[in-house]
Amino acid sequence: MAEILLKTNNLTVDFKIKKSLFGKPGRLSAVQNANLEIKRGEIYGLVGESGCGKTTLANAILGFVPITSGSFECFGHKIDAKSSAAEWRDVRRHMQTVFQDPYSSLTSRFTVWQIISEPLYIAGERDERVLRERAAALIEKVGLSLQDLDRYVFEFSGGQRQRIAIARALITNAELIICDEPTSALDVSVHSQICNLLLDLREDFELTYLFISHNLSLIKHITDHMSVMYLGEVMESGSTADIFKNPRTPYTEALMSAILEVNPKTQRERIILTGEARSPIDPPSTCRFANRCPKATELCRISPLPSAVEIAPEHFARCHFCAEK
Amino acid sequence: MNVLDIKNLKVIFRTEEGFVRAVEGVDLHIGEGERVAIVGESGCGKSVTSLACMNLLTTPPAYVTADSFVFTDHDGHKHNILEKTENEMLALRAEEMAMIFQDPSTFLNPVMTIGEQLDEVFIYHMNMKPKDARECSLAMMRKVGIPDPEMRASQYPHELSGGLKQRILIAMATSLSPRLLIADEPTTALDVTIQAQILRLISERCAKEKMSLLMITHDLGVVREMADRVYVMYCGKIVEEGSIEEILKRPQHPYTKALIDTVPGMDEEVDRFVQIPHNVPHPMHKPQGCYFSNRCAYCTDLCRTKQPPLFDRGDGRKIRCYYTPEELWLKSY
Repeated sequence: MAEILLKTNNLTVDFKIKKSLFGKPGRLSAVQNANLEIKRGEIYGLVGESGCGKTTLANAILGFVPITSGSFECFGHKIDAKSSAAEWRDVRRHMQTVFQDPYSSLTSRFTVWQIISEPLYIAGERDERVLRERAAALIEKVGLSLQDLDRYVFEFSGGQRQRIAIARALITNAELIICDEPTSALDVSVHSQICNLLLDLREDFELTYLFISHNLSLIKHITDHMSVMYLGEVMESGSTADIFKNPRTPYTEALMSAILEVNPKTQRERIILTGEARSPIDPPSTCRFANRCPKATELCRISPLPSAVEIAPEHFARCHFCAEK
Repeated sequence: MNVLDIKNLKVIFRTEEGFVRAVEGVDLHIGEGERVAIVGESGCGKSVTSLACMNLLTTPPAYVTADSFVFTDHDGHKHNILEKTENEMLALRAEEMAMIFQDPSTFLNPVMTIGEQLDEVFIYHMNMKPKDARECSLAMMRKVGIPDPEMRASQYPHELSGGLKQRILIAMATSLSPRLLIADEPTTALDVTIQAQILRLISERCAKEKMSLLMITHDLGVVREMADRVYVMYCGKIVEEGSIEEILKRPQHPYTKALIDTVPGMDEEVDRFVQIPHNVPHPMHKPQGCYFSNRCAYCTDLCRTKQPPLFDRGDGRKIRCYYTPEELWLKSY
């Protein structure tokens, strides 16, 4: 069995928000008790709609937002809410990220080689010749040419910018790359170029990806394992093939039926959910999906959301009725 | 009889760097009650075409010309959209043609309540008293499935979610049952489960009010759901036209085929994704011959030097490619 690279234990992220000037602050529950296990060398997908906490979960692992409770283990270190800056530095060295929007994630005043080598500079490498050489060694790997090193980002299209962002993520030899919607800001015809590039680089550099997306068809084809999130809770997780073949929570089912297929041969039954996601501020401890769930009963509205049940090997679901199906 | 009939539409923008030909000779027609879609990537001219239909492009910087641009209203009167003054257009919009946009929050006035904005449609177009207008607004909000309309009518746009705002825009656009509804990427800013709700709502409204629909989108999945007939656009030109069934089953233009192949089906197993090489050309530097020639796997010298015309291949299929699918297939071996 492959080694586990990253494991979260009940990772929780809350934000305090003020409802009124003197009122008690409310609690916005962004991620609630998330448990993920990412194995070395795999692509792990995180799916959910906007506001479900998938980006916040990634940001908590990267240290961009403070962890409220719970912890995660990564590269032999355990990080929780009380971890020191030195511990964070040790872990963060092994992780890099590719952001969604390459139009805002690249500094417009830097040349391409400066952008790509900046993580190395931050890590302590100050020799410009070395920085440039390292950037030059990578740029062709991501499908750009050496002449591009001295250009500025405004000269590049969205797809090319995302290639620069990927090169920047690779330069410190990080092992875990967190890709936060890397293709959703790009044109359809460029999507597959970036996905194929990510797949190729995984082979060449032995990378592990945490791949965040709301695009289910992409998740289906690119990832090995996945988790489905809804309003901060991980509803279902397991191997991608399993979940797509046999979704065990009503939310996953609805999500899959909402995929609009291009292929004219397939016709699937569509479950159209009523209503919208409830507010994540001071959520109840019951199932957060109960107000939209077509199968919800009184039980779902009263008793707390059950903890994850392993209904099949490595396939976890959180639903009162997941065992029945 | 066609609701909208456009021949040889051209839109040119004057920019600091020079002239950008955004739309280059588009022929488009929409029948009564027909659902038509324009598909293409960003910058292909699909949105500009839809804005031209509503006469919403300002000159300068946009210069719109067409051989004919005829819109037929409910009473059978023919209107040449390009010769209309702004005041004449105001009378046509909402009553005869209406539009839904991609990002609902930018099209709602942030300092007016939802109710006031919906009332305006009835006050200005139907000369209703404010009280009667509110009755109509509430009835419209119920029709588009907004729970508790009285409460929502007194709220401001920032208090509503994206899905609800899009429902409000649909209510506004369809309240006077126009003959033509133009939807420009109506679900791109929304989540998938909300997208399914909104698409169903648009279909229902169109069927009930017998409206024709012009759908602008980049998503072939949405097109398959919403349209009877499709125009595929690339770099300001229509490259393929036909019924949705035909185009998805038997795409004839290499671009359409590539676009369909890049999205693998849910039942397929793929190791790598089919990719289209290079990028969409810059609008100022389009290739000399066929605009797709620099990305096309079947490109020949003829393609590189001479623009192909739109060939009529029968059954309502029109393709801007010198080669038939059989010839392309042979070339790939």
